Amino acid sequence: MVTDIVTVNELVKRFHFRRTDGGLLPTFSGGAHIVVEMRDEERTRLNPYSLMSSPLDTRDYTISVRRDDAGRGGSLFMHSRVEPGQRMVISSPVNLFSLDLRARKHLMIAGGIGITPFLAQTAQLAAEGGNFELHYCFRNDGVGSYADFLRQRYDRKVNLYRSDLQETFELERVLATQPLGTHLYVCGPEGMIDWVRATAAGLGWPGETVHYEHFAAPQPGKPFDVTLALSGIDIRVGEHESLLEAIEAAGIDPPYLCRGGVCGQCETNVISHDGKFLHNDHWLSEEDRRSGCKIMPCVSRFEGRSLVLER
Amino acid sequence: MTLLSRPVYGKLSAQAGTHHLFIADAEGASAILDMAKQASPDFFASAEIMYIPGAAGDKYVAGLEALVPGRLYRGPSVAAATQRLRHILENAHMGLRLYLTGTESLIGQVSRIAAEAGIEHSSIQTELRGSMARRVQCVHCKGITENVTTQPVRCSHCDLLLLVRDHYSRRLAAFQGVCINAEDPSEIPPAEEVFR
Repeated sequence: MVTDIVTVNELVKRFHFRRTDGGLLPTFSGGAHIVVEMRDEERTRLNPYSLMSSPLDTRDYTISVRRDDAGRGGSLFMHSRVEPGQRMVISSPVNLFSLDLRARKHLMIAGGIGITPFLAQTAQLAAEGGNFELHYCFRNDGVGSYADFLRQRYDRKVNLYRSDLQETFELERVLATQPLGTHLYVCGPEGMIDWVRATAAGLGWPGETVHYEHFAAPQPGKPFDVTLALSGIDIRVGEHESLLEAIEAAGIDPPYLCRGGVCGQCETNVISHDGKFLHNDHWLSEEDRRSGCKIMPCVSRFEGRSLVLER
Repeated sequence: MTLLSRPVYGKLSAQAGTHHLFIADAEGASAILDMAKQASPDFFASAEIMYIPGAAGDKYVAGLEALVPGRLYRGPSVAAATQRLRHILENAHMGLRLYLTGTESLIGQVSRIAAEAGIEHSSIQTELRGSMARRVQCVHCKGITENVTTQPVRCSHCDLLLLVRDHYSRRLAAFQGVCINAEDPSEIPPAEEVFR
């Protein structure tokens, strides 16, 4: 049940969930997300949102949703169609962006709404006396959700950069001065993640020390037809829905976890195809993509005459 | 043969980084010299080499000096170099890359020190060169016997005759040795030199 909705700023609303029976929600660790089911008339949307509440208190799950007027409608639904007291279905938490607890220090870089997983992670680390340093970049005071909260709570461990005041984040300097054994975590817009990863790699940070999470939404595209061989049905993937969503709309329950093309859970075998794949994921190898034998339905699309999947 | 416990060693290759630390013993120096042939001319300016010549003596020293590394240290043993190494790692930043080459014994011991300092083994470049002699831990008395070349071997601490297993421990940087004649101590299999 949605127990509270708080308008954080002009773009962000915060939602609090509690179990309808008042019991404790499942345990999770910082960085985990839940998938929220939105019943929008005939259309069911499933959107992942990072848990920002503290893992130490699972009476409540909290998420923050940034409204995207140009998006596919999930955030607009949350902002305008959800009321306190409403019952919703949410998934168990899944963590694809967890802390590496062997690290001596955790260096966190957040951009915009990417701050949400770090709220849970810092709460978790603070409770254990963990060593962390957070750098939070945002456009202006109006959208710097939780900047004040973080500053008040964690003081010098938190560094804030407002681009409207030309406060620049000196990424190279920060990366070059971290002690051995530091792990890096970045969450924010895709461009920022790419910039941080490339800079870290160039400065000699080994791949296994850099962790990142995209809040990626599937790109729209031309509609296309698909045959689901195991289910024995044909479906049409609309312009604004993903292949995964179209399969789900047909009443089938395929596996998924992140719904953003990075975790690999929805990997689907292609039985035959006559056309061109539009691979938008970050999971398949170059070889897999060229083979035309696999597709990630959560984000990828197809253009052509026929596509038959093993679903 | 694929042994799950034994690390897989590769070939040294230059990594992106701000500081490159090479640690080698005996024939391992030749791997550094080979790698230098592919490296850019200024690569070694930001490199530090710690070299334990051992049986190789002066063979490679001139070659290493010719690379003009930022620093070249020569020491008599891993034990002697450990304190210095720990100090370097304590004060190092992310951007330091580690390259270990030479005997399995050197690579294992230094990897362990690096792990304590926060460097995961998958981030370390390694290359085996030279003697395949093993460090063996006696599973009974826990003592380590160095430079084991024979199968079986007498534990240098408790004198039991040990079968040198292929089971390896990263934590101990050693292979496991287990008593080969516990049922009949009078049965003494002849020692064969197998780890060269």
